[in-house]
Amino acid sequence: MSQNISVEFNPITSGVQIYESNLNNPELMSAEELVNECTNSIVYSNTMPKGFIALSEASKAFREATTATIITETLEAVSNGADNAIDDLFNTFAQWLQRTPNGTSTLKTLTEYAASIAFALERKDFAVKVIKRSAPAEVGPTIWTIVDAIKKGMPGVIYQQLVLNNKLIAMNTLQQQQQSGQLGSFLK
Amino acid sequence: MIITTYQEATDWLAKGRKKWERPMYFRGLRLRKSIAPGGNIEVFYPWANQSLVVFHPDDTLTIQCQQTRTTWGGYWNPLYSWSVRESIRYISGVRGLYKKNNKFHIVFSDAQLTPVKIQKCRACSGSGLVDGWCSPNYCYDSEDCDTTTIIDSNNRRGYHYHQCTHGNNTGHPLVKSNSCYNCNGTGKKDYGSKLVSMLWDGSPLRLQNGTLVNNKPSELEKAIAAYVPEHIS
Repeated sequence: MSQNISVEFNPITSGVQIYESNLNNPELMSAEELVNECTNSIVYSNTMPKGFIALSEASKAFREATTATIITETLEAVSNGADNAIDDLFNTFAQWLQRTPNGTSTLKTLTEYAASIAFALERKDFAVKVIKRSAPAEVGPTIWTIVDAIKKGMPGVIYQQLVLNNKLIAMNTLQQQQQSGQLGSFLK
Repeated sequence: MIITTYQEATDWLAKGRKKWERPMYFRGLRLRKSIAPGGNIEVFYPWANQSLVVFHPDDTLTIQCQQTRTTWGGYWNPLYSWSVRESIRYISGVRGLYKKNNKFHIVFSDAQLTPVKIQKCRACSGSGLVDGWCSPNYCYDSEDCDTTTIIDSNNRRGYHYHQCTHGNNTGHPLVKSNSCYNCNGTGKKDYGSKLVSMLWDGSPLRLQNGTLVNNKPSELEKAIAAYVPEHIS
């Protein structure tokens, strides 16, 4: 299904659905709460919490932990009978990408999420499509890592395992960043 | 002159005839402007047909060395070449780039040290003393020296040898006579405090002053970078 979804910029579509949350004050929540808040809104409500992009840009650990949790939740939803959970997730990301202009940091962050999740869920075609949207100079090292993994012929399952195994480390790092007040200073 | 900054690269191209490409006169490398917009300048390595270093206008640079196919159908990473590694190291300013067990390690300029590991000296086994060597004494005095200890008493030309203080005519070892060269006689040595390196497979890394720009690789990125496909390993 995801092969036919367009990820190109389409200015006619309306803006991304954003709701108010506590993400602008990440010190008020635990690392796990932060990640779960974002995951639930993306996977189950198809909405983006306010401050999600800024927090993702501020902390690579947050991005990695959220990516791992989104993958876990989506796979769990599929195993619980929601067959379209993966397609719904990619539709949501595709819509967000369509509403995001080129060359923006939002596009960079969304690309990192979409490509990483797509590759981990063995939708390499969608990952490649998303990555191709940005110019090489505009993407960060995370995307280069995924490109590198694809080029090396790494199976999606192994990538998924690496992402899921890394969740605990990412969560610990995020917790340390929270305790040292790094996240707040990034967002101000 | 080895070009290490964007400004130097710009000046070098400006003084050339073609203004967009010029040899660097260093390990066969060529400097040329990128075709893609952005004003980047590449250090091109013709032998592998790829750019090893890309200078960016914001005073950062990208190092890369992608795996290529060989004429015989296999894979080859130009990083196996010492010259390529040295070129990247010289230009980018990283502290080290070396090969160990067929994997490439990169040491950034701000690399941390491993924890201190003080152990018994591995040269003297903790005694602080090592074996020495005693040789017959060389002498060039042909008139007034003690003739009883002369070893080669034939014709004493410009020089001759005397017995050593131990009464030996030939060189001989002296057991545990010298202070250890490895630990300066202390018997202990720090076998930690080594520079921490990162595994690198040649994927692009953005650097400034020999270290990663604001983007330390996470454990996940390191794991992916260290992944070696089965058909190569």
